[in-house]
Amino acid sequence: MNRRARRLACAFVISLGLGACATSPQTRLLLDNPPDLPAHVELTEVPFFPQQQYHCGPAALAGIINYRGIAVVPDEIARLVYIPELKGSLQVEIAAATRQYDLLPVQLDGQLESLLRELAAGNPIFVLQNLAIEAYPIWHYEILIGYDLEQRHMILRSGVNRRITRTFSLFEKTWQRAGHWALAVVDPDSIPATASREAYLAAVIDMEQVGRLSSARQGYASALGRWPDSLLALSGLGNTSYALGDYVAAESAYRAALVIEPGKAELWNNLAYALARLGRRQASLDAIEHALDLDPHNATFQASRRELADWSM
Amino acid sequence: MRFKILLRSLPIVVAVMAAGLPAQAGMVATDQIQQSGFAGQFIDVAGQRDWIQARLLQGGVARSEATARVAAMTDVEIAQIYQRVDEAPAGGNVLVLALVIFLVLEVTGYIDVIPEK
Repeated sequence: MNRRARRLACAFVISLGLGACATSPQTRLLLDNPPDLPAHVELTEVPFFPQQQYHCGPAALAGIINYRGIAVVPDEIARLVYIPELKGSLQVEIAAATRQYDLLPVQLDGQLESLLRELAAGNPIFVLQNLAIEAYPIWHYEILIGYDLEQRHMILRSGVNRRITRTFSLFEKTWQRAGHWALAVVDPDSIPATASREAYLAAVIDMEQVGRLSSARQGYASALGRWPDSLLALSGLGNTSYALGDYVAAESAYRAALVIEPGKAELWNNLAYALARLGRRQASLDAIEHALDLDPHNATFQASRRELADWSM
Repeated sequence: MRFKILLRSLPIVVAVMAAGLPAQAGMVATDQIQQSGFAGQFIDVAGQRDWIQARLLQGGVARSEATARVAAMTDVEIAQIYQRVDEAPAGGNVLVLALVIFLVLEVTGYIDVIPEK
């Protein structure tokens, strides 16, 4: 038991402070109200990398990243996520690592049915499990690759096992003890089937913040395909376009956002900069004045006005 | 759902602690546009990043990798793990688990390692 447990304890999870759950309510709901989904899905093309000791995170993530068309091996991922002293990988570093491959780590909503929908849409899911008990957890990262509604089980790539099944009921319990944590890892040109606007944009904003601007811009554009009135997506599209030097696109995005929310002074500020870059000096100065009309004491806007006035066109 | 709250709900306005400096001119970043109007808490992000980098090094991560890994995390991710990395390590749990299982098996008569007087 000791050796097997040590091999399985390969994720490092900061205390979730969850209560124990002896039942599996989502499973009950699912079986009572079968979703309108195919009875059986298995994403057989998801590559399998058997894990090295403690390296369940790198092995599982390598499988998903390869599935998205990028050739990596677990050792490469381990350099991004593994902490030798802790014999595991942190969830935030897993997310950070996916971004390094220009993939979006989108957190899902914690519903069992959503996992099935994602699988039916062709998205394997990176999941965290606690395979032991609440008080003495054994954390494990795995890839969810399929399900069977008739057999009532999930299908996973797990550790050194290319394919295991786990009943919906047991999967739900081990997942509940892991805070229902699950990531869909997608190219920025697409959106996971069940992702909320907030969760998707959060992932895109993170991508922008760590400097992967082209991917972030693509993500904002994808978001606007599904949520065309998203102020945040338009703002992000403007900002990433600006940072990439596409000032025409930046102006267009800011103006579209300002149609939705004309009182958003920050957007007037940023528009002013885009206009300045386009050589439209008067329009630029008008825009920053507009920002100051909305928020006269804002020190940033005041500084911006001074800077924009100084720029020679 | 609890974890989702952990990750996303904190309206942290992250800013380098730089009291008394003049405001920066320039663009307002997307996450700040999102948070405008929030009275959030100011966090010394640079200090937290330094701490995490040191912690990764202490944990056996190579120096060049530690720098890159800290840079790859967002301010909110940094804040989430800052000073929390030292909570109950997973490795220690394994021994306790083994002991618990041993005792349970012993008490319920499934094994019989401890001789009766």
